[in-house]
Amino acid sequence: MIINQFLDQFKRSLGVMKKDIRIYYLKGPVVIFGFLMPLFLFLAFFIGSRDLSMDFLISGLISMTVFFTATAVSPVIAPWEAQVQTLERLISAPISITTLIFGDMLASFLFGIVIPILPIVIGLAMGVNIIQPIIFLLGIFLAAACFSSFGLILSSPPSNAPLQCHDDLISGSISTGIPQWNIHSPGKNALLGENNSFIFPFNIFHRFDKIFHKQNQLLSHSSRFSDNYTFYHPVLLFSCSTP
Amino acid sequence: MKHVIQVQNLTKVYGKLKAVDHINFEVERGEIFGFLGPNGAGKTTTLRMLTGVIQSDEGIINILGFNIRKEPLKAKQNIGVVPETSNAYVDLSAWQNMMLMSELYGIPKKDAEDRSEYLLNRLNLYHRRDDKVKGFSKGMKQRLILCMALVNDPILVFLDEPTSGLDVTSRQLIREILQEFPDQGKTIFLTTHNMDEANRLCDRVAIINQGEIAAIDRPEKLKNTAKKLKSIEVSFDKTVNNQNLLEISYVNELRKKGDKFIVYTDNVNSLIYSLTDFAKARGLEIVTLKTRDPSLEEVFIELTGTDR
Ligand SMILES: Nc1ncnc2c1ncn2[C@@H]1O[C@H](COP(=O)(O)OP(=O)(O)OP(=O)(O)O)[C@@H](O)[C@H]1O
Ligand SMILES: [Mg+2]
Repeated sequence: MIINQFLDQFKRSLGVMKKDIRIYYLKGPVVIFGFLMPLFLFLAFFIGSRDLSMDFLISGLISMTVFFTATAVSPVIAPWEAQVQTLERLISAPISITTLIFGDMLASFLFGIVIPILPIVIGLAMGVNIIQPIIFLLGIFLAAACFSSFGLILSSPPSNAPLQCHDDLISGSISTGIPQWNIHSPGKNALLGENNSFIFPFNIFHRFDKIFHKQNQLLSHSSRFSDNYTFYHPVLLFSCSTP
Repeated sequence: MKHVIQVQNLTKVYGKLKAVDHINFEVERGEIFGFLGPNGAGKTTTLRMLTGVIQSDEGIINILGFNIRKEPLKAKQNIGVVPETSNAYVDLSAWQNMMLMSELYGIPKKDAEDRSEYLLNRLNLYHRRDDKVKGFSKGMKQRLILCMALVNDPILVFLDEPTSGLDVTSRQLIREILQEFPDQGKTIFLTTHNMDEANRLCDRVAIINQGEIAAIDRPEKLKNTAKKLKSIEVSFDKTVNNQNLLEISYVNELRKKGDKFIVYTDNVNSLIYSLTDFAKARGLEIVTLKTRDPSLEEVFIELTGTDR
C-alpha cells in the first residue's frame, strides 16, 4: 500500500523531471557552462603548470564538469517557476512537494552523470586509465546527487523581491505535503534561516538524522560537539543548529 | 457525501490585512457555485486555499470529503484547477503540457492520449497541438489551461475567472462545456467579475467583500431580497422635469436614462398608480412602462458598496 503510493509518486516525479529536462536542460547555455567552462579551466591548469600529472588534471576536469552541470540550472528552477506562476499549477496537482523537488533533483542528477561522459572520453583518449571503474562510477553518481541537491539548497533562501508569492506558495505547500523540516531544534537554522523553502535535501535526509547523529557521536567522542554541530558528510554539507 | 466543499472559519491573514476573514460555506454535489466580489475581495486567496496551493491560517477545509491539510494528495487527485493567471509551460507544446499534467495525475498513457485528443478537439486546439504555447494568443492559452484542468476528468473543478479576456465564441464555448457538468454529477466552483455570466450559469452565488461573505444564495433569491432595488422604467411623450417626478409619492430614487426614467421604489403597485395620476394631471401620455427586477449587478453593488 505504502510502497504503491511511493512508486506512484516516484512515477509522477519522473513527469516533473521530463519537463525540467525539456525546458531547462536541453539548452545551449547549460551544456556550455557545464562542459566548456571546466574545459577552459582545465586548459589553464594544463598550460599553466606542466608538472601536474594528466591523471590529476583529468579527474579534476571530470569532477568540475559534474559540479557545473549538476548545479547549472537547479538553483533557478523553483524561483523561476514561482515567478511565471507555473509552480502554482504544479502544487495544485496531486503530488507532494517531495515528489516535486525530487523530480527537479533527478533532472539535474541525470545531467550531472551524462555530460561528464565527454571529459571521460577525452581522458581515455589521452591515455588515462580508470583503475576502479565501479568506485569511479559510484563517485560520479554520489557527486551528481550531492551537487544537484546542493543546487536546490541554493534556491532555498526565501526571496521576496521579484517573486511575490514564492515564499507563501512554498512554505504553504510544504506543510501540506511532507513533514516539516526540523532537525534538532525545530525551525531555527543558522544556515538557512527560519522560513526557508527549498530544503528538500534536508527533508529527505533528515530521516537518517539518528544515524548521522550516532555517527557523529562515534566520530567526535564528545556529546557537546555532536549536539551543536552535525556533519552530514557527504550527502549534506552541514547544518548548524543553535542549541 | 452531499457536500463536496465544506469550509469552516476559513481565514488568511497577510500581515495586518485579513484577506479572508472567517468565512463559512458549503457547496453541494452537482452545483455551479459562483464566487463574486470586487477586486481584492479575497476570491483568489480563498480559491488557492481550497486547492491546497497556500495554507490557511485558521479553519477547516474539506474537499470531496478529504481534509486538504491532512490528505492533500487524495483531495487533489479528483479536482481540476484553472488558476487566475495563464500558466501553461510556454516552452512546451500544447500536447506536451497535456502529457505533463496527466503524468502529474498518474493517468495511464493511453487514457491520457485519448482524453487529451478529445479535450483539445473540443476546445479547437487540436490542430495547434504541436505548437509551442509561447505562440498562443491569450484566449488559446486560456482554453489550453481548461484542457489541462480537465485532463483527469475531475468531479470538482475550480475556475478563477475562466472567461476574462476571451472573445464571445470562446466564452460561449467554455460556458457550454461548464454547463454540461452538473448533469454528470460534477461540481463547479467559479469566480468571476461577469455578473451576467454568474446569473446565467450559477445555481448559487456567494458575494464576498473585504474577506467576508456578504450574501450567499440563489441569484434570483438574492435579487428578490433586495426589494428596495425594485424599479419601474417609464417614458413619456414629452420632456418631464426630474424635480417634478421626484416629488410624487413612493419614489425613492430617480435616474434618467436617455428619454426613459428609472424610478426606484419599495412599493411597485402604488408607484404605478401615482405615476398614472402624475401623467393624467399633466396631460402626458405614457409611452412605455415596465417593472424591472434588480439585476445581479445592482444587488452586487448594493452589497459591496463600491458605488454610490
Ligand atoms: N501573497 C500575498 N501577499 C500579500 N497580500 C496578498 C497576497 N495575496 C493576496 N493578498 C491580498 O489579499 C487580498 C485579496 O486578494 P485576492 O487576490 O484574493 O483578491 P481577488 O478577490 O482575487 O481580486 P481580483 O478580483 O482582483 O482577482 C488583497 O488585498 C491582496 O492585496
Ligand atoms: Mg483574483
